[in-house]
Amino acid sequence: MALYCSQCGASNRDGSLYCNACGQRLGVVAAATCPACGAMVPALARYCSQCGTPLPALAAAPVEGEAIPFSEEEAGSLEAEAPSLGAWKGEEETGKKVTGEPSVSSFYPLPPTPVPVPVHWPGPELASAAELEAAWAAALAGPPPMVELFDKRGAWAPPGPPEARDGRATRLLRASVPRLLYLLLLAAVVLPLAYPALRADLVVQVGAETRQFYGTLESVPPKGLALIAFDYDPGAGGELNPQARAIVGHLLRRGVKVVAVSLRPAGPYLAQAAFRQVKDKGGYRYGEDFVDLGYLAGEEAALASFAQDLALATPVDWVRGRPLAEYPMLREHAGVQQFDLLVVLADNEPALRRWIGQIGSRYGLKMAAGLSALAAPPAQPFLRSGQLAGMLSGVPGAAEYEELLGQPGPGTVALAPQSLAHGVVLLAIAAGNVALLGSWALGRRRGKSKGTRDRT
Amino acid sequence: MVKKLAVAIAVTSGLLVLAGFFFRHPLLAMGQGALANWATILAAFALLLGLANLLSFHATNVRGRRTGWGYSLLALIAALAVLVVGFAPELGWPGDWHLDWVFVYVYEPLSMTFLALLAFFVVSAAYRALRLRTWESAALVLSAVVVIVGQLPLGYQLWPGLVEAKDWLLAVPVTAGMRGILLGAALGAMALGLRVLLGLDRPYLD
Repeated sequence: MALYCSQCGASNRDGSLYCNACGQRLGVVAAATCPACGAMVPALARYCSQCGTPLPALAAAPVEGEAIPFSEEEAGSLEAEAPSLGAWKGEEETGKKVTGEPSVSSFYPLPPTPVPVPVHWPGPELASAAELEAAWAAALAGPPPMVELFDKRGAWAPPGPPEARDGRATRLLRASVPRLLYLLLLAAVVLPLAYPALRADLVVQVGAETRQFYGTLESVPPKGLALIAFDYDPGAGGELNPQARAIVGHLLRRGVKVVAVSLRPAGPYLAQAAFRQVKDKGGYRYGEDFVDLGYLAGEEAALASFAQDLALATPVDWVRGRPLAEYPMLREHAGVQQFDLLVVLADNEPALRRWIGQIGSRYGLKMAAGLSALAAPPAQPFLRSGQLAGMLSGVPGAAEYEELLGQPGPGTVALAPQSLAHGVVLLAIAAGNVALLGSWALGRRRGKSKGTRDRT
Repeated sequence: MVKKLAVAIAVTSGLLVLAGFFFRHPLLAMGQGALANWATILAAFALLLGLANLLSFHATNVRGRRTGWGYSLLALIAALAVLVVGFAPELGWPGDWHLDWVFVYVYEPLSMTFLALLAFFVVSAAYRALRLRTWESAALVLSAVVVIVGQLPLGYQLWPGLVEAKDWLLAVPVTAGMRGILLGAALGAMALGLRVLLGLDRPYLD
């Protein structure tokens, strides 16, 4: 990965300490101060990142303004004494006369190559040649002061003005609150799982969406055929595995034959896990009650092909590797039109949209979806438009569904830790706003005390 | 000439697939099915190419001792180990548990662990970002609180109105916003599709 110089923008190899074009130390930004709000901004910034004020012009475009009284003789003698000052773009551009107000209030490093750098010029209060000379000498005596804008780990951490810097107690509090919240989150997840007594009093209220989903699955006739798409990664398994288990169990109990397929490489394993959890309880048999067609490579093209001819897209099943025609439940089903229901289990909305576009809408197949909490809000339009006949959302959806089935399972178990974790999120929101109020109050108090000092 | 031929093939294939969506004709269906199958086979080969590219990239990293070459070595070992395990039945190893074992005891826990870390980022973001700085941010914070509380059993026990408010937020503002995004994206996809079909955009020649 390339590193870009904050001074000249040149690209440098990863791991470089200094810019290969201008010598600027990488990770250190020469900074200026915004004349309006006083915030530190990187060199060459055109607008203040805090208040949006246009920053003073660069040397390449000198500011028009009133000339500082300054004779040519004085300038000539200074030039003779300090010839290297020619490297300062300000002199090149302004000649022997200095124009305009000082554009920035801090020093900038001298670049060895002629790249545009902001004008450094002593302020108008330094009117005499002696003062100008002293300022130049100071500037040439050593490297210009650099401001560390990144902490040791490389995070953006510009120093505030001295009066705005916090005390030790405030810094300690600021650093410890996020860590405390992380610890609370860990406890909120682990404790209810370790101590079942902590999750005993939760009352699961079944929502309208879950009832609609349940009704859709109930509408599939016994001996009917349902297709379940396992389109999620194991990362979302915490939310979707309980849904998958409940849906597969519900369908098989009703005598509906279930076929699993996936557009994700991990999908077949997730399907196998769901089947494994329910088959022993009901004595369901692979090939007679359910079949796993496995992974389909090729996204939408594969779906289009699969929709037309199952056997062409997936000639053999995933578990036994036998032709589909050997399974009685699939013998008479050439394409997806013969399915009574399609359930998509997905951890993102585009995955669901693929099934809707290629199969649900095109072949008029009844569709329902079990989604992660992240994917459910973007899928709302499909539910409202009737393209989805039902939708489960995240762990609450799984728990509500288990409640409807009268079989509390992993969804109900996961609801307590999730509820407590959400409580920690609410606490974090409250803590953040208390901190904001605190910083406002602190800033106001400092402003008042500064005003008092100014008056005195 | 070669370019014109490529464009002609691409446009004809695209139009054939598009026509298959609108007209039910056995010939169209057959052509569409054949093209979809070719695309599926190409996708499978693309997976192989991707694997070869990945292995080559990490092998170069290891050979040149580039920054982080140790991670590249780990990636190579992991990829090769899974490949060998995947071919276990063909190699005559007994049982069919090998890939299942890798999935259940390696891939699944790792994948879940990475996603679980998201919970800590969410807490951190809630602490740092959901602050009442402006009226807009206040609306955002309020919506977040209503949806979070309304989604939990606790929300109903606190006040059933919270659940109704959550349902309204999801049914009206969220759905309206998502519809706008989906329609915009669909119009964009149509415009892009037309450009490709008319041969104005030719990404397949790049």
